[in-house]
Amino acid sequence: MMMIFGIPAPLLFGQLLLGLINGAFYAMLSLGLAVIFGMLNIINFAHGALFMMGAFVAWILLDQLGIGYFPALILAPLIVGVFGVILERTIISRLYKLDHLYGLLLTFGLSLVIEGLFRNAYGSSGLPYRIPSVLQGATDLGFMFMPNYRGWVVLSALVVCISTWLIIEKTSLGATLRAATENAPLVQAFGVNVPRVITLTYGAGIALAAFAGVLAAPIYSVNPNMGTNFINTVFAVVVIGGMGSILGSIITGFGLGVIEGLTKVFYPQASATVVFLVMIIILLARPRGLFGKAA
Amino acid sequence: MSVSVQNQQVRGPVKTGAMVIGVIGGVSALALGLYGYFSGTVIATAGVVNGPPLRALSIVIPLIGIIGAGIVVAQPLLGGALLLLSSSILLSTMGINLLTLPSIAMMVVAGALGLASADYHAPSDEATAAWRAPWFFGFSRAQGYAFLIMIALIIICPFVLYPVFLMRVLCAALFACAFNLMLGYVGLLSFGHAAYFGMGSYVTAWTMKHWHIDAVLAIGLGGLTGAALGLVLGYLAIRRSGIYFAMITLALAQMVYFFCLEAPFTGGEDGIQQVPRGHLFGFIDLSNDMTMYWLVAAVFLGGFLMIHRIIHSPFGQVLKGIRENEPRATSLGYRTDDYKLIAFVLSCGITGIAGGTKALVFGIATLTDVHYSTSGEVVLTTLLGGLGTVFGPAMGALIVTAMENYLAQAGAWVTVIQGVIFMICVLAFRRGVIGEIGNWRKLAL
Repeated sequence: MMMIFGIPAPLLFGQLLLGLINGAFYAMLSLGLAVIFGMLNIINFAHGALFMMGAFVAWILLDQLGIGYFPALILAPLIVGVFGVILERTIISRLYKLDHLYGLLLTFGLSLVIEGLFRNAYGSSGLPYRIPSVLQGATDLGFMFMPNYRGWVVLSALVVCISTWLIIEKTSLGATLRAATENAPLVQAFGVNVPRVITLTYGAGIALAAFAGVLAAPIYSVNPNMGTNFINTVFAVVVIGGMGSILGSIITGFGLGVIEGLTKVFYPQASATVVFLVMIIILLARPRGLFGKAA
Repeated sequence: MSVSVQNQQVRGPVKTGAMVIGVIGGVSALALGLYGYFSGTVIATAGVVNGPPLRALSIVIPLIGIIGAGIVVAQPLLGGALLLLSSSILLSTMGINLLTLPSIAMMVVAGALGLASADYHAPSDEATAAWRAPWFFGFSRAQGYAFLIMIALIIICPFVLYPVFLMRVLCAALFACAFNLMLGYVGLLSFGHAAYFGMGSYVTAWTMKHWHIDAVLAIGLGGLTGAALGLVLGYLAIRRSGIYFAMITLALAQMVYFFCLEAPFTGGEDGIQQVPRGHLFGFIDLSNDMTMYWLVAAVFLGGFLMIHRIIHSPFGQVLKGIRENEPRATSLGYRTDDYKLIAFVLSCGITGIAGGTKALVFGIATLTDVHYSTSGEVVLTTLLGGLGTVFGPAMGALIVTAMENYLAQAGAWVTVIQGVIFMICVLAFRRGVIGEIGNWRKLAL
């Protein structure tokens, strides 16, 4: 058997793949947080709860209506995104003139409500979601066996992240968005409906979280705590990357996932805390984050 | 003008009605109280605390209600408050049955009428000047009275209510006061205060169980642990401010949580159980709930007054200056980072003391104490009571703990209700209970 640094190669690559999958979720969630923070100036604490909601909507679609995985991959983000739009219009938009901290507190309360409601309705033990038959099985890559679904998750997360980056950086819609982030009154003066842009941005960020939730449903069991388990780590990811750059969020997310995976191989005890340790190092060496703009 | 005259015309009869209903309710409650005092039957059905003090209260409390009814015409606000206070204590001690319901209901109605007929115009500056004048220990006159009321409640309540519940309230209140020092006076939202609370709780529990040291020493070690951890994590967190500070403190607290999950001394999922309460100064046995209560009350008051002194010291004034305008404080020559770090360490130390006291009261330290939901709860407590107020955190602790106590059967709905309260507070009630009262009376409470 091939050995790398005294570790069997399949084990190393297996953990690396697991790390990449976690990294994919970190990337998608921190990307959404960064986009929302850029436009709305709030930290969306409910991001984890809405990620969980995406997984649950996919599960309900399958269980109640018999709608399968691939349609759910489109439908669930749409449904949760519309929910996000309603939230933004009815509640969150009342806070724009206040200190940023109130947005954090409000969305924290929101996440308690959403998680509590799902816990009441479905319990906290977790519900299974089957991998769609097309993506079952594994492929021999020569150096390791890769479960097809895991490969699919990494691939589709990459595609979604990069297309989000392309939309924001390379299209005229993205240009409007970036301009509104920089100077909203001026963009409004040019005839752009800025409040609507803000609403749609929030909806899109939420849809991204829900999409990640659907991807996560077959890997982790669908349960009300799945978002919270992620979101606390995602906050550390956001601090490490800094919220200034979209590409930065993507690279930081995947990078930290890989670091976490490697830690699981070489020193498993620290695998839960390694992201936070990286955050401490970054805070000491470069407080504004890897890709953050100077204050 | 005509509207206010009309109001006056309506208010007169309402006040008289409140007085009549209140007196009837109060006298009938007094009759019940006298009957209960001599026979002991009413008290026996309540089953809260049975003893001579409660028997005396069964007469004193209705008398307070009657006094309230007597003054409701001249002082509708005070009279109404006394009626409601009296009826709520009667409700918690006597319980509802066919005998007690009519008199308690009448007193509640009279109290509500009294409050409704009060004049709610904001007081003029001359009227509030006397209340704003400094009185003692850095308290204004209004704050001084509020402090005396709080002391009176701390002394009276254990004879009426379950002492273990009150100890929980006091621990939560001290925790919230310490948290308020950071958010209310430095303007930094720490979303990870559970780390210092939980570590204080673990260290006190562990030292009590394995070293069998004095209770005060163990609580002190809990506080030192909180302060030491606060020094290390605070040094990292104050490098960023605002929203990043909140995220960093949350992430660091999550790291502490994972550490506690793995570390052998915490007992993992089981926590540290069956912690003995031990002895105070080597000879006062704390296994009795009432004895323990007085220790907890003393710890709370000590912490409360210490925070009050910190806020009203020149150091505290600089903190407020940093909150209002940090660049200006820097330009005046203050090392703002040092000030923030010292405030953070003080806050974490007092938080550790609160955690240690809690571990001693319940004889248990678990992962719940370091979990981020505990961090969220202290934010809710402070926000609900009143951010940046002196008495708000204690008021918030009373409300939140009572709510959890009465909603214990509701299970997962508690989270939903807490979340809804959180959202209401942020959207429509940002001053909190005490803050709203202070704003209405134009006083800092």
